[in-house]
Amino acid sequence: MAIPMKVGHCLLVVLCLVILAGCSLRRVVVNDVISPQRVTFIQSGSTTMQQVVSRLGAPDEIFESEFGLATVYEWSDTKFSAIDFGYAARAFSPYSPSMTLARTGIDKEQFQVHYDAQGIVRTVGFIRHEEAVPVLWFWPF
Amino acid sequence: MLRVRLMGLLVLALVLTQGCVVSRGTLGEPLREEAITQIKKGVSTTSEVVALMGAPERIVRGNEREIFHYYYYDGKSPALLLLIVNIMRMEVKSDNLYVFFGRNGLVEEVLYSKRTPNVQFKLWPFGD
Repeated sequence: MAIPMKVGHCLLVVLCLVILAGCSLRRVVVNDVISPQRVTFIQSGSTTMQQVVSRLGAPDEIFESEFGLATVYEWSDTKFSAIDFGYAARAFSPYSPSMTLARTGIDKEQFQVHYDAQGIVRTVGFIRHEEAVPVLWFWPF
Repeated sequence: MLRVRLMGLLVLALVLTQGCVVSRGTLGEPLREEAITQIKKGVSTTSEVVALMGAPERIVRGNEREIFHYYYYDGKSPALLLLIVNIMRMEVKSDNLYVFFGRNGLVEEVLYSKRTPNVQFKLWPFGD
């Protein structure tokens, strides 16, 4: 028996709502990303702190290393997504069991610039980094 | 008739905005640019900088110098909490000011950048 088109559309909408029910997406972004392309102007042994700051802005942190000052630029992208399969039970039951899959990915990154005692760049580097998880990624295993 | 339309508009506005959350959080005090421009290299002293900017959030020592660190964070977060789906995004940016003092107690260097004017209320969690 063929299902009329209108009923089919309604079923599709209901199916989408059931799948989406209990879906939660959260994202917290701190500061701008510094990409490797943005720091190609930095040359060890010649670029000064003023030149770095004029292109990248003031750093988030300054500390002293054994050879001189070091500056840290920090940014992060935290993603949380969850789906509660028990949420759909609210439609027909006074009790909604919690059957939730959730995942949080905190993508915290740093770019460090180390200077010598004269304020000339000695070395630069990004902290080790794994590929960022997508926003919608609730599978915790 | 007008009253019914107004009521209808009000109900529509309430229906459309239900579940909307707009929040904002800040950390520290905004850094006043007019005060920062008064800090002069080779002239301003520690106490003058403190009089202009207040006590620093942090003091760092490096290269036999004292560095005052002032910062300010601004975060904006819209959210949509609907019956079936919840979406929330928060954007945070910081302003940083570093004032370097030499051994003579005078300002040697000023590093400043302002990122907070670029903080926006962005709801869509995907993309940049």
